[in-house]
Amino acid sequence: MNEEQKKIQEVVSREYELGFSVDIEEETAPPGLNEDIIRFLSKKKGEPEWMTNMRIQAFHIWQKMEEPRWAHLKYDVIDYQSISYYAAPKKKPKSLDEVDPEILRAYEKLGIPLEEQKALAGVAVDAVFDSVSIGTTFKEKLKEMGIIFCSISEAIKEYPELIQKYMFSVVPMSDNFFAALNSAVFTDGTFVYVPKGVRCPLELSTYFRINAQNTGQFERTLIIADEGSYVSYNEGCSAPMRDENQLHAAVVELIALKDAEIKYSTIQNWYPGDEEGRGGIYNFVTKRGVCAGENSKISWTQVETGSAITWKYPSCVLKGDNSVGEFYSVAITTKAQQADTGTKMIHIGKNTSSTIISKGISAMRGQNSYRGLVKIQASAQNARNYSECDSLLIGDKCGAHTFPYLESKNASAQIEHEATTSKISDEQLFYLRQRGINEEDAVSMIVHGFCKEVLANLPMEFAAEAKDLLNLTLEGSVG
Amino acid sequence: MRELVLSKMDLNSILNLSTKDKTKATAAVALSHLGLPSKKTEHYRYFDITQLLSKNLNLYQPVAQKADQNEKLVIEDGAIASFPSDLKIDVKDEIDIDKEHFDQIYYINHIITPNVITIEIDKDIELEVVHRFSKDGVILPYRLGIAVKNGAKVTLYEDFEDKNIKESLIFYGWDISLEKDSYFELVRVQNELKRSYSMVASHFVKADESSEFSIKSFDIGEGKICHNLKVDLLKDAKCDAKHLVYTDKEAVRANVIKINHKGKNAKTEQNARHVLKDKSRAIFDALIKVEHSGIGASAHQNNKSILLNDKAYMISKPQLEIYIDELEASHGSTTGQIDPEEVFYLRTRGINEEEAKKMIVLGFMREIIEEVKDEEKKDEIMRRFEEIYNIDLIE
Amino acid sequence: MMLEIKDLRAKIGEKEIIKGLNLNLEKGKVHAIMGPNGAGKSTLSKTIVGHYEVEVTGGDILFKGESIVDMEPEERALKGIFMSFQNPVEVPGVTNAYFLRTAVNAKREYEGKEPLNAAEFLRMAREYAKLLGMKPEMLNRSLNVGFSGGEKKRNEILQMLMLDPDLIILDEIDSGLDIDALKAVSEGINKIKSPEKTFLIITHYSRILEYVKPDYIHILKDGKVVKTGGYELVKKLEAEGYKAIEEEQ
Repeated sequence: MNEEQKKIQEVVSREYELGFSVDIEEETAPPGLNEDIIRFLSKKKGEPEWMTNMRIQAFHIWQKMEEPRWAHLKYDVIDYQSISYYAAPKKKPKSLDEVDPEILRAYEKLGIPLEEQKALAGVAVDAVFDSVSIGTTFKEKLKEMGIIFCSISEAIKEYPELIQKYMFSVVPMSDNFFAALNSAVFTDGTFVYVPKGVRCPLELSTYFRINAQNTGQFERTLIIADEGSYVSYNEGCSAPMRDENQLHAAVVELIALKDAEIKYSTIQNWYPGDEEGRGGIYNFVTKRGVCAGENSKISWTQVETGSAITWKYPSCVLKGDNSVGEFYSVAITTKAQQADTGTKMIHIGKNTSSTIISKGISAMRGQNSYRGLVKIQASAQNARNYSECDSLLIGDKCGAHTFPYLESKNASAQIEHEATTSKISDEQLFYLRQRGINEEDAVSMIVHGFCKEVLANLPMEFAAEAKDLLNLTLEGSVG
Repeated sequence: MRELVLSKMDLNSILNLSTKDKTKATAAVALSHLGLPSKKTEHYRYFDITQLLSKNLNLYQPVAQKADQNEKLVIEDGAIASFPSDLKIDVKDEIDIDKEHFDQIYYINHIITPNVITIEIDKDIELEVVHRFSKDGVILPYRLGIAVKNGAKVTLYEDFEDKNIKESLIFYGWDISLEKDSYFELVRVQNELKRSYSMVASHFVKADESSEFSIKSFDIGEGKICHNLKVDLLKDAKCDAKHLVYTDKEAVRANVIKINHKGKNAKTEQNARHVLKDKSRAIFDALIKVEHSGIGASAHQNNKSILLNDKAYMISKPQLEIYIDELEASHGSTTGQIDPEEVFYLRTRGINEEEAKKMIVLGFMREIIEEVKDEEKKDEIMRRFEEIYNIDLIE
Repeated sequence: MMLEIKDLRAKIGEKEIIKGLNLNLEKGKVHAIMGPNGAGKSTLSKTIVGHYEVEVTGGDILFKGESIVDMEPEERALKGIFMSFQNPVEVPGVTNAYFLRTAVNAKREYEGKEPLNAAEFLRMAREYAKLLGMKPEMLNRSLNVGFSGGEKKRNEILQMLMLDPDLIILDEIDSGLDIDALKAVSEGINKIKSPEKTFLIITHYSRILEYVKPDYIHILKDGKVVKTGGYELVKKLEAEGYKAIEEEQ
């Protein structure tokens, strides 16, 4: 580990993290986790020896760590030895008729095309449909510009020097319990490298939504924006996803060099479980970006509607002078969902600035916590932070909690934090209903208004999906 | 006196220090659930409790002495030294304590304190309490209980004096019970000009129906001092909390406050101001929790901090934990330097930079000091802040 | 000459806003500066009083013959330069009276006079407050905190009367004022008017100029004075707008 990485590690306290995961249906090998399983997994993936050794090293670190319990979350003990860490593809349903009608109804509501529905539901598709060829076309175009966009498994083989330089540089394997676990057993994920001065012309991943699915429960993503480059990356999608794997522990690392900008948008809609919280996904994610160079910028936007348990804190380490970090989040918890999510903004460089806009919506028995750290180091002359964390409660059985940590060691820095908690006001509701809008639509209208600032930060196509998703999620929460 | 290094003791040996009486048994049960405080204890995250507990100190048990009559209640090294003649004061083995306190030291303090000084008040009074410390190198634990009866209105001024003692660690705290319709105002001034002792204080307030608890705390200067306060508000109860903290040198001053809305229509107004100088550290860790039964709550919280120089370290944690939709709640926190626009404005009126800054900082602090109703006390507190601020400017 | 501005250049951050500006303000005269938004009107007044964001990169400003560009803001104030702020900042916890007395006594000390005692000060402050239609309670409130737009402007004029400066810069004094407040403010200004004082009124409406008649009008555009004339310029502006004046050149 070089000096810089050590410094970052020192600054970023370990008890607390970020990250993310995606999914799919898979079948299992023998459950349990040990060195043999990891070697087997690494071999199956055809990885070089150095990668296998990294995984083993991470496994040893993980063994010594304790699962964190500080978050405002209640869930049963997870038995890590009962989980399968290598899975072969499962037998797929033959047609949509075999798929849960509830899911089909959601697809319909969200306006997802039939072919895409099939893929999402894991139906075996014989004919090569459009997205694959579109995908190939775009890949060619990106290649011409020098942009590398491939799976992390492919990158380990094809671009070992980039992987060795950057993987674990933002989220060290010892960062936290779930990051260590991911480092040992990560299945697959995305790798992006944008060369100097290149502005990536596409929203990455939208077209690859379907293909990118087979990454499993321990996803690992690494995005590097070289000097003066720009990339916007979208992860997840609004369609509800079923997954037999209850535990998800993803890691995302972003690196923005001098004058570079990375925009990372997420829609997360994993299966939330039933009204008692049974069967939902546990999503423990470590996401972190480092603004390594001057004038660099990292922006996280997330819409979190799924999972039984969400534990994620997409963060920015603002190392370069004048670098900028942003976090825009909408998190909805209904049914028996619990979310403990927020961000960490670590100001190290001069004139660094960060903005946090978090909107939490709780309905039914949902528990929604914002947890955010703003840390201004003594070196961060003239640093600025502004945070706004608002919570909306719908119904009297849910909970909304705000836990900011605001630390400043620099007298010229400015931190400003505001938070409000309220329910939808009766006057607002009455006003809209008096104008002939039914209650459910009125609530949805108010919720959209409440989230507007965040949704406005999503790429256009994603924003439309997010809107429909909000409506769908809120259905049945009112009254 | 025997030596007590709390960090070297396990839970059982601390629990074994407790006697059989009800209070200590209750404390022991609660402590066994919480475990001992450690680096991972959330409310000690920024206040190094393990370092304090690892000191080699002798356990000093307060000794009852012959007490004089005086206008003030004076507590010297944990025992009553003097008290007003009309005050109903007693020393008891057992009192009711909080079974759900968040702080381990609250229970440890109860376990190692032989008995509790209790005061019962059933009329409207003002009371001055002075804590005096004279012992070097000891752990001094003591506790105070106060019961304010139906409808009584009480203002209590609390102050601290010490004979430049060295290395001592003081555990103390109030258990305050407010009966229906009563009013209790606590004005605490803790002015540590020289770093002489460390203190972990842990308080509990139970505010019954329609009662009001008001705290105005003024922390000035040095020392390692943490006040943990938990307030339970029942139906229609009110909590008015104002905190002013001015730290300098290597001070570490913490206010950890958890206000719990248990009954409906309770109200909380909390305002804090911090001014930090030198290498000092201030921690404001304040949670307002509205339970499902706390319908109709009104809860507002605000903290503003000014750092006078770069080595100072402010930690602000305003928190809301809400389990009901029928309420209004908000919080805000700002940390920064003296506003340059304000300084400039005053300078364009001919006031020099240093004077302008001083006026602005004192004005910033005055907003809290103005909350003290008694004019004489208010001036006295203002004077103390002016004094320390002037001393600093000369340096 | 009260104030001479010679080929002044100034920037805020990286942006040059005043670009070689020349302006002379005569003793005993009322000057008005008008100009479209973004012409540099506010930056000019900030530069004269020494705002920390403004960096003078060229030229000079002489006040009564003496260069002031390197002086601290308070030094300029003590020498007799006053600016009424367009939007005065709120200073919580500092009472208006305490602030005013500190400022008045700083000036008296500078002039070698005895400080005013509390009673003398209050008598004077109350008298002026009355003239401006301000309630005496305003003196006990925190400086500008929770003041309405009109109250803030009256309070600025109160400070002007108390400090008795020689050069008075009024930055958008008439914006957001109702007719009563405008009259009160004008009354305050006319009270202090004398052959010894110079006014610089910065405005983009002509409203205030009906109450305080200017001797000279200067049109500011893109960081320079592009035209100087008498009161008739105001009428022309009203009738034809800035564009017509620009085209004339």
